[in-house]
Amino acid sequence: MDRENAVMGGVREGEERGVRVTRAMARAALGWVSASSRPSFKKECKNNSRTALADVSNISRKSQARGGYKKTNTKGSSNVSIQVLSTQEDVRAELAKDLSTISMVQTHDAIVERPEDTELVQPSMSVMAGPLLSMQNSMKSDEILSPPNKDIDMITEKLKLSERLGIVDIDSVELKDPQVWSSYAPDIYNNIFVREFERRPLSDYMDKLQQDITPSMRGILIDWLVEVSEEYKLVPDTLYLTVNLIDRFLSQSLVQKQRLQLLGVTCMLIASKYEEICAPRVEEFCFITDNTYTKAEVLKMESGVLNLLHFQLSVPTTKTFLRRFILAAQSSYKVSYVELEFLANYLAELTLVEYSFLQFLPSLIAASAVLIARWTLNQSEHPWNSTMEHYTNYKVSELKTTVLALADLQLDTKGCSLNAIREKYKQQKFKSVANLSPKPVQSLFEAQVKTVNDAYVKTKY
Amino acid sequence: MLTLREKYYDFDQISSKVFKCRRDDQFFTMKIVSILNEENQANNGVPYWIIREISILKELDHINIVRLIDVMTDGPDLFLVFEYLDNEFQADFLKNPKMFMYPQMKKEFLYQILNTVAYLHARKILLRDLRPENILVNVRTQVLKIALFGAARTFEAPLEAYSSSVGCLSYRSPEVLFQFGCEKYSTPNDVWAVGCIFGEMLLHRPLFSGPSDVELLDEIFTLLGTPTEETWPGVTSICGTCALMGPPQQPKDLAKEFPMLNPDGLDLLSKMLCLCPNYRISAEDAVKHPYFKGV
Repeated sequence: MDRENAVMGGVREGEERGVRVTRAMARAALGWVSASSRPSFKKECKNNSRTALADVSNISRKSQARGGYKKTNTKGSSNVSIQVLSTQEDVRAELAKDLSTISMVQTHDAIVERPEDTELVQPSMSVMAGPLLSMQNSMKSDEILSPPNKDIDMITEKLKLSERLGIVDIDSVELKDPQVWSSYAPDIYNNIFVREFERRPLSDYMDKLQQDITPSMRGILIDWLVEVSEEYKLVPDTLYLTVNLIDRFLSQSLVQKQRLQLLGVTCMLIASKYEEICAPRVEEFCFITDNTYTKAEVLKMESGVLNLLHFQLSVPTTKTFLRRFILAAQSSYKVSYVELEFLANYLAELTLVEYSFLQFLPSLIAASAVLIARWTLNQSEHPWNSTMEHYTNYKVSELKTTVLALADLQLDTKGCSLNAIREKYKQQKFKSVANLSPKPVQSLFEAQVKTVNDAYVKTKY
Repeated sequence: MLTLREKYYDFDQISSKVFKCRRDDQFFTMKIVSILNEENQANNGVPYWIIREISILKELDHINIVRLIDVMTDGPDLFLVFEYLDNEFQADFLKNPKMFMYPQMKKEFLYQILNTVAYLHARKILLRDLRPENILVNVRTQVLKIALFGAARTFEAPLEAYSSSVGCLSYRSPEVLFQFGCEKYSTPNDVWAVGCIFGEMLLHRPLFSGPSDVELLDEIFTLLGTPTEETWPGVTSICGTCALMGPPQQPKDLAKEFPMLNPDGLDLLSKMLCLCPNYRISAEDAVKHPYFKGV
């Protein structure tokens, strides 16, 4: 059988793994400029009646691909544009033509030349439907962004550069308990970095759509859900997914304030079913609301949420990135530094309650939480090194806005009365990290920090 | 919006909850899931495995993974519509050697399975219940399709503890049978299942078929030898191991057990059936194995 046709995304014999997908590459492909900014997903709010659980296929319909929406690449090669065309064949042909014109990609503001013999595989894509930036139909760019690389010299050069820059290989077996080690971690996170741009809630849905609920109501709900997750000993992923589902639902559907708690427990029910080994039953979620809502109401809302979100629950959250970034941060230490993990998790969880943090990408929040955690625990050295930059795909300067916002949140400058997360992390089992004195972070950005980028610019691959 | 009966017709029952149906001269497989009856977690809403199955299938776009075409509701029932495939891998191929029309066919099928598993693992998905019954074949195109993602779930790196009571017993890995490492099993579990399927393709019978955990482990150790600290570091510290492992046994010569396999094939099989999960070959490396040269 022709292996070319056998598998889309499979690894062909003799091929080396593709180039690591960097944030700059993802942005370039999707036409977005700022790492911290997010696409403005404007959706018309129409009260269309929906058939329950409709339109959840994993194949594209040709009828969806209409119009000539054009998105021009603003970050990468200036002569590249991706145009949505009416047929799959046209899309593939256009992509192949466009991709063939790309001679270089940018990573961390430095130029990395693509060797002439590097083969760009034509991506096997579904028909791209509607505007490229629509929530449900975001293009799958992981196939485009990881061209297989056969140039051994280039790979060797990269490895030498990594060693010279002091980048620790956090996926080597020696660094981990082998039972939890996965050789797939780099591939997984390459995919996740691209996918975090998809299925994101609006950052301004309170202004654009909601009429009866406010950011403070949202905060109260999530603060309460933190207590619920503690009560039922749910895994952190369940809490993060719950908040993601709530925000995505509120980005698309008008909700009355008396139904907000119903939405909250329903999203936690769905997230529990997805993440937990043994999810709490519907009755328990009714009980936790003091039976404000009936079982029938919760089940009806469950169907409504799954329908509206098209069963799309596999979303990267801040917690997904935290695992990776904490591992990178731990590589500096001889022994596992549990305070670092707890503090980073604490800081990241604080952002769940704060509506304003919807403007930041999950990876950006995770990276900022790790930076502040490292800085809080140790001011003897700069918290951002080449290893951190390599695995997060962020320069320290790119974290400034988020770090300052997160530091304010940690300091509680607004005097927020929502304390579930603070109380949770004051417990001894979390090493009481919520009691740690925050350290001023402004100094991290005042001095011109010499980062790995200098070396990237000087070194041509 | 079209109703179920308006959209699909010519229903032909395959099993109690699975139907073959038509739409515009195309055939589909329809799986019915009752949400509200006692059978499905006593009225606990949409079953967790359906939520996972649909969510996972929506993330995937792969020639060897069965496509989810549509999801519809009709009263208390949920209808999942998949692309139709005409042959079950186990019933038609594994039990009937004549179905393998040329020698290379087994190798091609194995390659497709491994490539699919590698694709899934790189997307943070553990299959957990890979077995021949969940593999379908398009006889005309010779393309395998993996179906039924009910037991599948996403995983994190580092991997969290997941339920160990998953997967058909015959294809369950030793670490799951041992509940090794507090249920923190991972991607090697799926590779073990592929190794078992490979053996079954060659022998036309299940490689291991013990009716219980203990008997299955005994069968595994009879073929592959009893694990030691050298072959599986940490194995002796597993709680209750002594009772499970039985008397020490030496591994059999795989070349004698599988005379139809060339040295490359034997090497791949032994690496997929490596007892220690940490030393077991990954699906990603397996597809690059010399055994597949020329596929």
